[in-house]
Amino acid sequence: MSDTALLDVREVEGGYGEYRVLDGLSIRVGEDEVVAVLGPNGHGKTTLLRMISGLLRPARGSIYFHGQPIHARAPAEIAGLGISHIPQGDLVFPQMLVRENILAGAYLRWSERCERMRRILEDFPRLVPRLNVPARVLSGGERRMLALARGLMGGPQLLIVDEPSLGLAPSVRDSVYALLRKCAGDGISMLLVEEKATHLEGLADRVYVVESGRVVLEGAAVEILRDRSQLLRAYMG
Amino acid sequence: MGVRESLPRISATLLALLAVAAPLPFILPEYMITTLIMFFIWAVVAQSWNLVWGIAGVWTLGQMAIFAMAGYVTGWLILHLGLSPYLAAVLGIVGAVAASVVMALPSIRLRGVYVILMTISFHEIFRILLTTDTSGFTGGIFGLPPFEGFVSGDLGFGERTLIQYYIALAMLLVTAPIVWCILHSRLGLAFKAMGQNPLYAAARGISIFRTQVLAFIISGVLAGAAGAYWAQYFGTMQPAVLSYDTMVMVFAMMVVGGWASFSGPILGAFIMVWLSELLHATHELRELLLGLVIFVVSVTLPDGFAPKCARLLRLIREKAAPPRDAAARLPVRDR
Amino acid sequence: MNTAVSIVYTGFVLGSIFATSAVGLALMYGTLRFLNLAHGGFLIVGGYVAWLVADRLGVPFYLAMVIATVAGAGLGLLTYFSMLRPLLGVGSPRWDIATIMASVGLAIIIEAVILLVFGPRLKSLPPAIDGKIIVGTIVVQYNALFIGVLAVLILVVTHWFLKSSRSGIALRAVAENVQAAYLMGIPSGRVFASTVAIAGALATAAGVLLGSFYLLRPSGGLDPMMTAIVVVVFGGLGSIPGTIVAAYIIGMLQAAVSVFLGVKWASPVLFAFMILVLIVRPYGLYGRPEDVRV
Repeated sequence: MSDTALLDVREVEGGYGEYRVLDGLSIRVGEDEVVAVLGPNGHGKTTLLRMISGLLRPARGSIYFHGQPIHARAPAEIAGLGISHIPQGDLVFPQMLVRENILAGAYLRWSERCERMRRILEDFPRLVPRLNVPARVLSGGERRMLALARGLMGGPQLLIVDEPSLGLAPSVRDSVYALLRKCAGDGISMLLVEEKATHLEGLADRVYVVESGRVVLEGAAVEILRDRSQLLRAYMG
Repeated sequence: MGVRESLPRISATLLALLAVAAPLPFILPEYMITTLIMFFIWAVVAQSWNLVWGIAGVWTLGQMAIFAMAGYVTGWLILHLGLSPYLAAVLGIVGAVAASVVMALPSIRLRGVYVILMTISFHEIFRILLTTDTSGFTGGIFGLPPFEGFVSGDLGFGERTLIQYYIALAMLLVTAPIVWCILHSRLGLAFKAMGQNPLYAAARGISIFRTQVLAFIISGVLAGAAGAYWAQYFGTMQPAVLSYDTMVMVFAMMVVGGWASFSGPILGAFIMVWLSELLHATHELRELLLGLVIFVVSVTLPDGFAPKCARLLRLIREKAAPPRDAAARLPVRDR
Repeated sequence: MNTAVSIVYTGFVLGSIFATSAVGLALMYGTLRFLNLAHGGFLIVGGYVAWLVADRLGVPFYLAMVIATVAGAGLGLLTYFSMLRPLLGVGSPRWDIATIMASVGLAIIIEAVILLVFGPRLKSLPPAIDGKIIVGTIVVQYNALFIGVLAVLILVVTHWFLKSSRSGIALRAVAENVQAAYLMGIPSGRVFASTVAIAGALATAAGVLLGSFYLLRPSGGLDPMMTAIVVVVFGGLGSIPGTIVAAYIIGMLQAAVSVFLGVKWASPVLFAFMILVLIVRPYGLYGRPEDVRV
């Protein structure tokens, strides 16, 4: 683990109204590191991501990015600092064309939008023939691709992806993971959330297992992912 | 709280209100009595509007058209068929209910702003047809010529106002408890369920069609009664009741008082009637101040005055009689 | 033949004006879910400001147009900061009712101020261009044609702005999904403010166009606002391309009704048309069905 953490989540608690989802959860993501958070559904993974990107405010605890506290900032500001969150359900802009969706992602880097779009589309060949259709007609896989492309347009230092493989056909899932590997190779730090550990090998550096809003297991990905029995035990409680 | 258990409380409240309101004509100057009559009329209309908009969640702007329909039918029947004002008023209410149902049916499958647009269209068509009518049927922009209302014109102005005051008071004191009982009945529950979540209400077996039409019918009866009363009180009927200004005024009563509550529209009618009376003294600044009040109240108190007043009353009551145990301190939800 | 040409010509001019005035309304509804019932007030402010600088101060028409537009943007910002921002986040039915009511209050204030400042007498804007040509039996006023073309120009610029500019894309992104827009780093507050400013500017610009067509009076914004509302509904509440197409269709319809049935019937037919649209196709030409139904 690197000493200067890019993202440092310390003891966050909170959730939705009275309902507390996170219960003193701490994770760190280092520079150039890919971290995966694993855990069963409904145990606070998405909530954690929403707190990092500012969509939800933690009741207690703090979140630092580059050593700066961000837990009280507005989501647009946090995105401006270089965190890009690909949310669950993708949240593409349905009535806008695919091209316009991608351009919306370039809001923070508007002057470089053409150059960035050309470069990013090289990695998303499936989107190229679909550029001039409204995003609502895309298939689930294309939608995920679009969400990723849009999220990369702002040139993030940290990419947060909520269940990258959720609801995708195997072939599409493989290409999503191939893309994520490429991003990691390009030096983008990443925080991924997944329910299953199956596709993380060779991508994740470190893994946290979260249960009932707390980290129950953490370690290097090679160890944790190899030792399935340990993982299984953590899942079963 | 069920309807039956609260009957003693309702009757007590009614008697108290009656005791306060009955001697007023002998105490207050005449212009205040006529203002109070306006308050009674508009309170009933605002109440009827709130039943559909605030409680049942159907955003209609057609209430003034219903009101006007009752007035026109009443006046027309008195004028042209020579019916007794009472019979004409009853038929006027029937006409209002018919108009209400006509608006209810096409808006059943719409929601929110779309209902506003649908009903404002009906209102506008009615208004334009009335004002551009040159056939003499409705009197066009001049309205229906004068006719005689409940109280014979032989009496002096003061006596007529006195009798009209009691009729209007009776109208409010009869309709308000009925609305209260409806709100606290099974039907009222269905209205509220539909207003808050129509999909869920439908899933729980509430027929949206039936509930919405019923809401419009009840509301039509109330607005119709007020409209028929209005026509005979003034002894004429003019398309001015359909003007944008009048609609805004009555709508403001509902919003300023507090939509979605029982007492809100009545409170709002009281505030707005007196406010507009007070503002007469400011002459050309009247409209400006009225607009400012509506603007400021809707921005600062989006729920209107009623919840604030309810909280105040509760505080006073708690001060006067502190609750015996801790359980009574739990927050009570606004009705 | 002549009747048809006349309807198309009048319909084009009317449609262009309707479109400019309706686009502002559609923008506000689309991004903020705010049905601005002070829209008529905005329109009329445009007319009076233009009259003030053009007729009283003798400023040329195009400059008067620019000044009125700037005033509209200012009025929009004032509306945003005094009324919409304090209400942001109050939740669905409250937001709608409070904003509608507050905008009605604002409309009354605007009308009252105009009455106090300018008095009740009718005013007319000097025409931008004098002269006319006669085509067959139709009199084509150069001014009317100019107004129509100017309206189209405004629409083209608005379209470009929404399609290609940074603020335009941000505006549409916020309109479609505020949360997703946040994640792109788009600050919703600034977008809301600029939307209302732009919508206000469009409304006053449309008011200038209307003012060079009809006489100005303090309550004169009400009827064009109603037309704008019908146009916006027909277009599919909040959809910009839908609004523009709808404006031309309704312009033609108005022109045809005036020719065949008489001017008296223009408004009733318009509202009957709105009822019909709401029954048959409540989501309008370009809207989304899921927004409408229970």
